[in-house]
Amino acid sequence: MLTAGIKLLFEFDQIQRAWQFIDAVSLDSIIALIWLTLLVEIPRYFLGFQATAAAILLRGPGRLPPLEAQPKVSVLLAGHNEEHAIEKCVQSLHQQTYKNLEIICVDDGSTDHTFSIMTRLQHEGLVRAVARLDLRGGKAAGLNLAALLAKAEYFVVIDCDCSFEPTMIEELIRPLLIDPSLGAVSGNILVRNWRASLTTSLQAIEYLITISLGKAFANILDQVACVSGAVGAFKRAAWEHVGGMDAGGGEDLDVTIRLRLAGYRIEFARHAICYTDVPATFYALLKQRSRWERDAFWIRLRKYRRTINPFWSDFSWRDAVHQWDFILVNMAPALAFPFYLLWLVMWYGEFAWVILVGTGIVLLLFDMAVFTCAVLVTGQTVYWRLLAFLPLYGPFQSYVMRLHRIYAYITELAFSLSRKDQYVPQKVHQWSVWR
Amino acid sequence: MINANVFHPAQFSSPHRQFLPTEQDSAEATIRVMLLPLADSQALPDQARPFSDAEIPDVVILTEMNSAQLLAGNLSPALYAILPVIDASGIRASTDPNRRCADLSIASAQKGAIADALEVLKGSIERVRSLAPSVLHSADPRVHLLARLFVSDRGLTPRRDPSRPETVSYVDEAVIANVQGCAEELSELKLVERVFFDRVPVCPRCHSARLSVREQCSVCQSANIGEEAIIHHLRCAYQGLEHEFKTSRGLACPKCRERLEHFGVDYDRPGFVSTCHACGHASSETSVGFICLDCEAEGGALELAYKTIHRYQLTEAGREYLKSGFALPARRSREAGFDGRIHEFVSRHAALTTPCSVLIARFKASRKTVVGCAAERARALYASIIKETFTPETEIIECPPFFFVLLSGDDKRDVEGALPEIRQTLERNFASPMEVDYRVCGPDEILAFLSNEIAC
Repeated sequence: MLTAGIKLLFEFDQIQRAWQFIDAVSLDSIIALIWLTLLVEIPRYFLGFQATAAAILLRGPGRLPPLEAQPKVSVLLAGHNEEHAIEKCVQSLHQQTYKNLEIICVDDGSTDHTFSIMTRLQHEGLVRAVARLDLRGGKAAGLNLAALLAKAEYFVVIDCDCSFEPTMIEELIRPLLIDPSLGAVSGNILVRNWRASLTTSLQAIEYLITISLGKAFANILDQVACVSGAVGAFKRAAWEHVGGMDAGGGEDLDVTIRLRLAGYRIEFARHAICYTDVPATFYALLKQRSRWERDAFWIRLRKYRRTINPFWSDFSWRDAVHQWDFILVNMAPALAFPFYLLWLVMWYGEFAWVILVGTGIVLLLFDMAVFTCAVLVTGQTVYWRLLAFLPLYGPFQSYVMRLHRIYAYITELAFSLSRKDQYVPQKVHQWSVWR
Repeated sequence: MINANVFHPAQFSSPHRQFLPTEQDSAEATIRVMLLPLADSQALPDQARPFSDAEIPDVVILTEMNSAQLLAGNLSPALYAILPVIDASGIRASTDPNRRCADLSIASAQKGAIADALEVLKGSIERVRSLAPSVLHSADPRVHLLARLFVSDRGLTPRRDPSRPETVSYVDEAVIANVQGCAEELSELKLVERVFFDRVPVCPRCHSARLSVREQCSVCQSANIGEEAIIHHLRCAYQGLEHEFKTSRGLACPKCRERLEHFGVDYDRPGFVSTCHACGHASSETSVGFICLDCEAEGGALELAYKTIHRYQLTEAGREYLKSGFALPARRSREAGFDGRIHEFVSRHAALTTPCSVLIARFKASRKTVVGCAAERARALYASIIKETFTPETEIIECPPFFFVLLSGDDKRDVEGALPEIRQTLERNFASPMEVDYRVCGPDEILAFLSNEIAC
C-alpha cells in the first residue's frame, strides 16, 4: 500500500512538473515541439478533409436519379482460386440496378473448382465469356485477357471477393457518361468485416478516412492517383490507349498513373460503394501493407520518377503534385519520425512522453472531426460504432503503421522485395522493369 | 439356306425328324398350310396338308415372288398378324420395315426344305394352336400384337432406324398399325411389361430424334468456331490471342511491339479459347447445341426434350389371357376419352340441374421460361400441384397442353371470383413465373370450346 501510494504521488508529481513545463514554454516553443504534426497532419488530414466534407455536404449533388441510358458495360473478373467467392460475386452483380452488363471471367490458373463454377455460370447465362489459363499469369495479365474478350465500351474491374451496393455500377459509370475527358473512375471501398477484430476495426476507420474522405478530397483537386483494384471503371478507349495493365504488383496505381500521363482525368465516385474483407490479424495486415508500400515505392519512385523531375520534357504539375504528396506527406514524415522521437527524447528527456501524449490528444480531436466528416460523406451510419476505437487509431497509425512503413521503404530500397512477393508469379517478376 | 428373320437360331438345333408324323397321328396333328398363291399341294411334306375352308391354317407358305402382297387379301387381320409365314419363293426376304415380311425364308418350295422350315416353326405352330379361338377372330390390334409376340416367342424390341424421325422402329409395325401405342395400352393392362431400351434427345418442336448435335458459339449459336491459343507476353502483361501476335517475322507483342522469341522466357501459352468466326465471341467454353434435321429448329442442349424408348415383354398374365381369350377392355382413344368425359360431366349436371363449371388451364412452355426437360418437369409438377389443390373428388383431366378441372356445384361466377387465389396456389411454388392461361367455362361454353379449340 505504501509503495503504491508513493508511486502515485511520484506520478502526480511528474504530471504536475510536466504541466508546469508546458505552461512555462511560449507558443513558438510549442510550435517547435510539434512541427511535424503542424506541418503535415493538420493541413492535410484536418483542414483539407474538413473543407472537402463541407463542400460535398453543403453543395454536393448527393445521390442522383437512375441513369436513363445504360450503355453496355463489361465487368472484368480475373481470379485465382476463388471457388468460394466467384459465384457470390457474379450473383451480386446481377442484383445491380445497372442491368446492361456482360460479365467476363478469367480463371488465372486456379487449382480449385473456380473454372467449373465459372463454366456453370456461363451455361446459366450469368456470365458471357469464360477463359481458362492453365498457367497463372497474375491479375494484370488476367484482366488484359478479360478486356480482350469484352465487347463493351466501358469496363468495370472488381475483385472477386468483394460485395457491392446495388447502385455501385450505376454510380461508377455515371461520371464516364457525363465527362468525356475522364479515363477512369475509382469506387469507394468500405470494410465489410469491421466487427471481426480490433485490427479490422482500425482498418475500417482508416478506409473511411483515407478512401471515402481522402479520395473525395483528392477528387476536388484532380489528384485521384489510384483507381482501386477492388472497384474501378475504365473507358475502353483509355484502357487500350495505355495498353491496359502492366506487369508487376500495384497494377491499379500503375495503370492510373499511365492514364493520367496520357491526359485522362480520373474521378472518385463516393456513392459507388464496394465492401471488402481486410486482414483480420495483425500479422496479415503487416504483410499486406508491406506489399502495398513496396509496390507504391517501386511504381512512384522507380517506374515513374521522371514525373517529379521539373526538367522532364513532359513534366506537368498535375502529376507532380500527387507524386510530391506521396514523398512529402507519406514517405518523409515516416522516415523523419524516428529522428523526431530521438530529438524529442534528447532535448526534452522525461518530458518527451508528455509532449507525445499531448500531441496525441490534440490529434484525437482532429481524428474525431475527420471521422465524423468521413461517415457523413459516406452516408453509412453503421460506422458510427467505430467511434469507440478512435482513441487507438492515432497511436496505431503514428507508432505502428508509420514505423512499419519505414521498414517497407527501406527493404524495398535496399533489396527490391516488391519483385519477390508471391502475389505476382515469379516468371512475371523477373521481367518487371521500369521505363 | 434358311433365313431366320425373327426366330432365334437355337431353334434350328432341334432334330426335325422328330416332328414327322406317324401313322397314329390324328388329323389335328397334321399341319394346316395355306399356300399363297394357291399352288400344287404335292410340294408339301407328309406332315402338312392344305387347309380347308372350314379351318384356320397353322402356317402360310409363300411360293412365288411378290406373293407376300396376297397375304392381307387372303387372311383376316388377326391371322395376318398372328400366323407364321414361310417364304419359299427363293427370293431374299425384304428388309423394308414397312412391308410384312416372312418369319422364315427358305431357298425353294421343295418338300425337304419345307419340312425343315416346319420343324423350325414347330413351337410357333403349337402356340398358334394353343390360342383361344376368340383371339384368332379378334379385330383388336392389341390382341393381334399380344398373340403375335406369343406365337413368335419374343418381345417387341425396337431397332435403330435413322430413316424414322424417332430413330427407332419396331419390326411389327408393318403388320400392326400403331404398334407402340398398342404396346403401351397392353402395358397399362399388365399384359406386357415395359423394359428400358434407350433415352434419346428429341427436338422440342417436332419431337424428332434426328438431330445434329454440335459445339457452337454460346452467344450467336453459330457452329463456325475455331480454337486459338492465348499468348501471354510476360514483360508487359499483355495477354491475347495468337493471331494478334503473328507477324511476318514471327511473334511480336501487339502492345509493346517487342519480338517474342523464347517460349517460357519471353512468353507463355497458358491456354486456349474458342473463337466464333461469325460474331467474334471468344471463350474457353463453347455451348452444345442442336439443329433438328426434320424441322430445322435450332437450340441449346438445355432446350432438348428427351424421350424414353422401351421394349416390351409378354407377361404371364398376357400368356394366360391368350389362352382364355376374354375380351380386353375397350380401347381408350385419348381425345375421345377426355372429350367424352367432359360431355358426360356436363350431361350429368344438366340432368340434375346442379351448377357446374370447368376450369381450363393451358400450360405454355415458351423458350424464354422453360424448355425441353425443364418444361416436362414443370408440367409434371404443375399436374401434381393441381391435383393437390382441388378436393380428391374433383375430376381433373390432363390433355397436354390443357388441364381440365371439372367443378361440380360451382358455377362459372364462383370460380372466376376465386381464380386469383387458385392461380396463386397453383403457381407459388415455381421459381420462375409460369406461363399458364386460365379460362373458366360454363356448361355451354365448354362444349363450344371442345368443338372449336380442341377440334382445331
